Amino acid sequence: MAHRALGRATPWLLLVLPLLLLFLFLLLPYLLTFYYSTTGATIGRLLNVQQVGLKNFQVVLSSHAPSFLSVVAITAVFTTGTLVGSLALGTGLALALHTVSAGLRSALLAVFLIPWVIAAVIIGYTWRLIYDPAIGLANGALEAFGLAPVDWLTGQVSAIAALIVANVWAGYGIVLLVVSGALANVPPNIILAGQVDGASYGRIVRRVILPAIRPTFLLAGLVALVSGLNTFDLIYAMTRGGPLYQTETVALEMYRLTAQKGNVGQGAAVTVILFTVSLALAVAYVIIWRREARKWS
Amino acid sequence: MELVRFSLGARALRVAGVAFMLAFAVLPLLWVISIALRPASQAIYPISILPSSLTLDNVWGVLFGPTGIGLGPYRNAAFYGLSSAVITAVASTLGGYALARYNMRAGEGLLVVVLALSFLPSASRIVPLFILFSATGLYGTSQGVILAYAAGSTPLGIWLMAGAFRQIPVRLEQAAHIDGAGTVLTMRRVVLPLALPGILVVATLAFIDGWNSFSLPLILIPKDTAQPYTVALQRYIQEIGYGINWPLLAAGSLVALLPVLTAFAILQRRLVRVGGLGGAIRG
Repeated sequence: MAHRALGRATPWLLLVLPLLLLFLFLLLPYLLTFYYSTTGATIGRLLNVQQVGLKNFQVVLSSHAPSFLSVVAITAVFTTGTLVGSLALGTGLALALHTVSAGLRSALLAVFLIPWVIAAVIIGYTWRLIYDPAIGLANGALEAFGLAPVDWLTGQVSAIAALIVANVWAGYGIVLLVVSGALANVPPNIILAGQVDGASYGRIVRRVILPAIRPTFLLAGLVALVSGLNTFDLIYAMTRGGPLYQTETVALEMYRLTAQKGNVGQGAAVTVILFTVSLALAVAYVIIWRREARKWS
Repeated sequence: MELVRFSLGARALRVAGVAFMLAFAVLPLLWVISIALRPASQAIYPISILPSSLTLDNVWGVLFGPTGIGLGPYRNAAFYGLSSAVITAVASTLGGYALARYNMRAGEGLLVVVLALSFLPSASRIVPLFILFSATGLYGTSQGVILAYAAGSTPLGIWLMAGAFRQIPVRLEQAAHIDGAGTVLTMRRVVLPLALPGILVVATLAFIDGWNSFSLPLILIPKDTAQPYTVALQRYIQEIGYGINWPLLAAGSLVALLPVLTAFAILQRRLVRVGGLGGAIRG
């Protein structure tokens, strides 16, 4: 009897360590953040804090220099650019490699995946070396064509564009990998059927291939969206949100309020906003994922 | 019949597109290497694409020179990354085995929660962990950072290990039991050897995550001597301001790339497969 009781408890015994780890260092911090977002906590005073209700959210949402609206707008532009860029490049490349021999494809995939394992800060420095006005590769190339050099990271438009290019470089590889996997599972017959019907390649891609890989496409898009929203390391390494908050995103604002201004309550409020949006996307992701998994199993 | 028939023009276009993307993928890294290995006197305006001579002075300088960040930050990053890899491997193996082998009513739900957790990116953890660590005294300790890294890598690890264990036939375990092997012996001789490739992939991914981590140590480790290279390089740039020694920074980046690229080269095949499986999970 004792043995059987232990038998039923075995999985839970095995799960004690992993669940404890996840609860203490993944879940609990978020719960604390929700609590702290309603307090007047500062870096110097984290215990016996004063309750302030929703005042932090009010202050954050109505803040100036930078205004929260501009921070949200910059985040939206940066995220959309990253999303569209990595989906387009990743999917385009996956389609181009679709009919290439398996050996060559996996060799190319490995090369395209290299940025995936590189630290985001190092990717930031790499692109700073490219955008540097004096010794950068970008201006070196412009000069070779007889064009005037550009100070890439100081104007708002060029700086955000430069950040997007760097982030697309960091992220398209994973889209390529996932979409390649999905393409390999598209039944060849439906593509051949399209050809027999005389459809052009572009039409086959639009009407047959893309609809067949739609779920994967959606998942890859959600991943790119959430990682775009939460990009911190890369922007910090390249512009630190500057010059003059012109590349400040929500993720950087969250850090600046907490660590630099020491206002933990307001930093927590921004975190709650970002977390809620990310969580909603994560839930959407899981729902889509489970629906697809059920369809295939 | 060919799957897709391209005209000659379309073929040429495709080759050109892939070649352009290869250049896009590789050129930035080649540029880092080109800057890192050239004498500082050649890293000035007007810049030449290829240096006329190569040198390891910058690599030496960043590790041992008076203006470099030293060996310590790399050692710290390796220590945090390896410790997190070990904890992640153990926790993921335990969790993955439980979820794969036991038909718990809560198991399915747990796996979904784990999947959702693995989807949450690290930036939203900066402030929460700072609050938790400040309130509990883990702030500034290496144990704190290591556990934070491990907790971030474990969800994907559990997910991958559950998949790995499901591929090992239960009958092998039953056969070992019938032959008189106890639970410990069965684990050590049958299950774990078969699961080892999966465990290695999980550990490698966790190491790469830890080695690459920047935002968490930036806010959780105030002491200079305990910071990893990611934070040390950032501090170096900030202190120097506009007169950044670019070759030194490039050399520092190059040193940082070596371990991950080596790990990637060795486990590339497996990682690509895992990426296809779990890639959609991990941002």
